[in-house]
Amino acid sequence: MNGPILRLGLRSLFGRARAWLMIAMPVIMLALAAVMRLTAGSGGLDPNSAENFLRIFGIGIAVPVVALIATTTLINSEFDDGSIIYLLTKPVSRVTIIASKAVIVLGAGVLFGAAMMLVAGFIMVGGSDQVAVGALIGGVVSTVAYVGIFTALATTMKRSVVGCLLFWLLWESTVSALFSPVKWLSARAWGNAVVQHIADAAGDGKPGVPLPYAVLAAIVALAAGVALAGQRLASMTISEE
Amino acid sequence: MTELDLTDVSRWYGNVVAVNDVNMHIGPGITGLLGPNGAGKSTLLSMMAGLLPPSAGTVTIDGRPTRANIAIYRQIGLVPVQESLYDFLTGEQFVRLNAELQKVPQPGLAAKRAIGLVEMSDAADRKISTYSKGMKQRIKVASALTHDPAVLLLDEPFNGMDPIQRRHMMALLTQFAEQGRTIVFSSHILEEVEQIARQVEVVVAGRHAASGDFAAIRRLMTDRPNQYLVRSSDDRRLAALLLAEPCVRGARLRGDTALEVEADDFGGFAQVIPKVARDNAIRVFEVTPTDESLESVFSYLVNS
Repeated sequence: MNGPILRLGLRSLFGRARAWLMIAMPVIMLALAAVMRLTAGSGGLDPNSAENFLRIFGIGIAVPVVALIATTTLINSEFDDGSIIYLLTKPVSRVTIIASKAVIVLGAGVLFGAAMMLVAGFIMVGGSDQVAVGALIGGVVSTVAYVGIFTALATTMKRSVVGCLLFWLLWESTVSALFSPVKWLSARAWGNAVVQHIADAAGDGKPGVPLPYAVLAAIVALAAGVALAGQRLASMTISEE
Repeated sequence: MTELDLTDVSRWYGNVVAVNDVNMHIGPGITGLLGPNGAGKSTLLSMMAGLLPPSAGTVTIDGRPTRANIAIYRQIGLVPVQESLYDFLTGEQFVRLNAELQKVPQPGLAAKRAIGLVEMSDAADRKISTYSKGMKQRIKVASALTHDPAVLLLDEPFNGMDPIQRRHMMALLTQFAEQGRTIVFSSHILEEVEQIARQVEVVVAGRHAASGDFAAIRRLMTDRPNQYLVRSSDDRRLAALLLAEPCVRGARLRGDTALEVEADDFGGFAQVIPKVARDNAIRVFEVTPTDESLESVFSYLVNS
């Protein structure tokens, strides 16, 4: 880790208007959770519905959107406009540069995605059935995976923002819903599986992949993404001729 | 004394050769990397800065490779061409960031000093997004100076500067050169190179087309046709007489006012014309080489 790069990352992420986009996601999620709780009636909200909501909105939308905004701000845009050069021409290793950035992105994902899923879970059903805790951990696992995947895409693709967006919309949201084996290769499915394993209320189905596999796969995705990005950083021109 | 050496350096992207077998030895002082856009100047600078691996050959600073050697950045200051900076930072924050990344002992002081050198102290507290092109250029130079580098690499440093800023930057670079630093800057504008570079390296289409000081490059070109504008008391008769000389390739009357002469040999023609004129009682009012500037040397190199 590198202190100045971490500080720069924080400034970059929160010093600009786009930070509000990132904050909007959890705000909407908490508002929806509150509405669900209030409209549930006297018996309280069914933990299964809460769990479904957290998986669909939290892991399906909030986590990838927050990770996407943070990654595009800290990595894609610096690659695309070339400002990363100021970090590359310093006595700091390539992997340290990318890892420092990934830490900030991860922090943002955990804070605005996973932690807010925990809060939303508490709003809806309190501590019952481990739904809130399951959502937190599932959110973290899926954030870890998304950060790795987006980081890799951000540094290897030309139109990387579009690439990340397409990956989320096509692969994670569409293809994985149509073809079941994709669950082995989907950040969303891993996060969902973790929620389902931990929460006592299984929602609308069985976990797609075993818990250890989901956790391990997310960690591998992150490590591979950072390593690949570090590799990509090793070859840069100072301007496109 | 820091020396930058490129040995048999080539760089290709797939089938496209961007830099073709370049050898350069660059010592202290200002070296101008001159060539048209797309000639491979930025690729060369990227390799000098260790950002891009050469496909073949080596780039070294005092014998140590610039590639895969991040410690080398303590010696290098790079000023890239693109304007995108971390423009949500103020100028001071940006320069300080660079000082911190270089692990300078007192980054705050180093940033202040560097900002002072480029005369940006008054605007240092403003966000970079509010800067003009020239101000961005100067803050970029300041960011490259925080660690007092022995080698300064600048890609198109005068882009977007007004004449006053340009003069100031030229004075600054000259001053750094006098401190014994090795400075390389790229440019496609001849006057810039002409004004401050002690050494000129001409790059055309990825090849190292010529090297040397300004005069040396010009001398390299003396075997090519030179154009002169001559005015005399009798242009028509002088034209006829000059055509008899072997070193003259052609002569053309420009209206009634002047004579355009194309000669093969720079030295030869300079001796012929006074002799011919004196022998035939023609008064010569003016002999002006019309293509002495690097501009013509350059277009010659590009076209050949």
